[in-house]
Amino acid sequence: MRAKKVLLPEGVQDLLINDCRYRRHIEEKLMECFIQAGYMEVSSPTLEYYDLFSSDYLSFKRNKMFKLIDTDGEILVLRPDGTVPIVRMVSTKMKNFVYPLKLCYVENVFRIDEEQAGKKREFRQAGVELFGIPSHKGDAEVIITAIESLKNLGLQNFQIELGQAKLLRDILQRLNIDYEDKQDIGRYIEEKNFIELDRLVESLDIEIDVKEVLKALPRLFGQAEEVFADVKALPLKPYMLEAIEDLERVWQMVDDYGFGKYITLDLGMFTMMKYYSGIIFKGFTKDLGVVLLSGGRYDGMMKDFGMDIPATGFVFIVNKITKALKIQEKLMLKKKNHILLIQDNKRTWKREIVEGLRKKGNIVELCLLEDRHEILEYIKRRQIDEVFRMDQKGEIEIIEDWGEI
Amino acid sequence: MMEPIKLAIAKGRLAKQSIVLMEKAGVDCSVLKENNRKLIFSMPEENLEIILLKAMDVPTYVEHGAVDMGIVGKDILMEQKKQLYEVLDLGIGKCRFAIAGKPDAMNDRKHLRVSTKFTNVAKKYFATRGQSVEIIKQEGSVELAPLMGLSHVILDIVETGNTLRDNGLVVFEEVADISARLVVNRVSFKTKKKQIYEIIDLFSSVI
Repeated sequence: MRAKKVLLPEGVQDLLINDCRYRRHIEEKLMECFIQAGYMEVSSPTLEYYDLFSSDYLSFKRNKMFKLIDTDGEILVLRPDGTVPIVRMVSTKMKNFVYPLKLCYVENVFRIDEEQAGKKREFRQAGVELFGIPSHKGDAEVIITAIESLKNLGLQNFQIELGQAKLLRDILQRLNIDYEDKQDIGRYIEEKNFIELDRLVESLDIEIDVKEVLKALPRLFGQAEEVFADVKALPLKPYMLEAIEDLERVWQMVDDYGFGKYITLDLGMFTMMKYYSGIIFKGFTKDLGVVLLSGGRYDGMMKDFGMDIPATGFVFIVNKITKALKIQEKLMLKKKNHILLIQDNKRTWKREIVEGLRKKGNIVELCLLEDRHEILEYIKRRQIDEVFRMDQKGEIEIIEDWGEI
Repeated sequence: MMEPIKLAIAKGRLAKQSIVLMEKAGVDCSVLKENNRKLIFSMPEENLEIILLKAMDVPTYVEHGAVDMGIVGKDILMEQKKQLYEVLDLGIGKCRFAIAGKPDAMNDRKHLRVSTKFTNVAKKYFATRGQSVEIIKQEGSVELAPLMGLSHVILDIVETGNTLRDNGLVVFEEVADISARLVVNRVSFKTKKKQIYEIIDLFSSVI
């Protein structure tokens, strides 16, 4: 009983003072960047109906959602990601908006993950969603926004890696092989499991050219120019080339914008989730071995909600970005000048003076302690910069020598 | 000076076999063979740092990026399902997952009690066969469970089958072949591509 009173459930945590400051700082910076790029903030509720999520989504996340039973027996879930609720919002409440519709958010999301694996079950996501642009311009726009946001936070050594889900999806769709084999090919490519992939592909009765492309895909990653040159040397079918050229247009546009140096490619990047229908991407830094952001085009999802509107977007995992910034020592927040205001035997503080000092950007604390030693201890522990005294007439004087307090 | 690549290896037999492989590839492993209790070994010549871990911990270290690469059995990878790249079958540590029990254990059982260290593998395997099971997690000497009447069968790693035979157990089914794999952290592979490929090439040259 006692343990339940003082311990936290697995995967959630309290944020103490500095961590709250960091979070607020990071989220404000991200939001500022999104809004300056023309995105508009929305917020979805924490609870949604389980039925909101389609079978494609559920086949991957079903057992990762926190579920509750409503009073009428309906199943509710704690928001497992930021995108699906926004798609619901757009399809029900924003149909008649002018497009492109650019939305952004920062929300808590909840996932049940394997216990004791060091993973959070509640975490913050900040993201953007762009609706209504089917061309490469939409993909490039969100990728540029992601890069600008990371730059704005001062993150170093980061890279955004682009993939093209359409390429492998179109190849698999055209293959006349078992569903399980298709699944395995997708998985082996995504896991860079070269051996199993080669073994499986060789055993299949498919065109030699397609075999060659499939085996090459997970090995094609790195600098954009090199990867494009390598992939074009393969015996590509016209539809494959089309998917590659689509990716090339995105890369070109980001490069023209001046952000080419942040981009790498991985043609083996893939997800079995059918929503992701085109360019997908991930962001990371060499200083932290985890993904900081991920995104991509999900035109397919909109169809579930009866809308034929293209969509793309990304999410930042806020606590991973915080961790990366901490490792790089980029989270040195400037401390505001902190003033302690002591009064002399007076019933009230003079409001204009307090307001005046606060307006100038100072933190102004009214001293609530009486005992001299306690005041000195407080000054020391709170790292107070200046001590002022307000006299009987409401005038303030600076106490230079704290011995005189 | 480039940061060394951190390679985690499962302690014990797999570590010994990995050393043999690396030596075959011309790597001086003498520091690894010093008989002491160290867990981290620096090999500056190869720009490598070897970390010895419990097998079960290797995938976790790799997934979180605490190390860049790992050598670990497929059995552990099947049990844990981590987000990592599995790039090479090293061909060492070969064995198989099998279902075993006393000779009459499978006779018309509607509901099987299964003892295993690999509960996820067991759940998945019996689910695909449509067999209703009750899984009992064990930490060691799984063979004892059917002998003592704790369970009907076991799902465990079988190498030679000697232990099973000595205890009067028989193998009913083979579930999967196992061998050691070289795994890579998903971010490291991209940010340290050249160095990591060098290590992959080093191992592929001797398998």
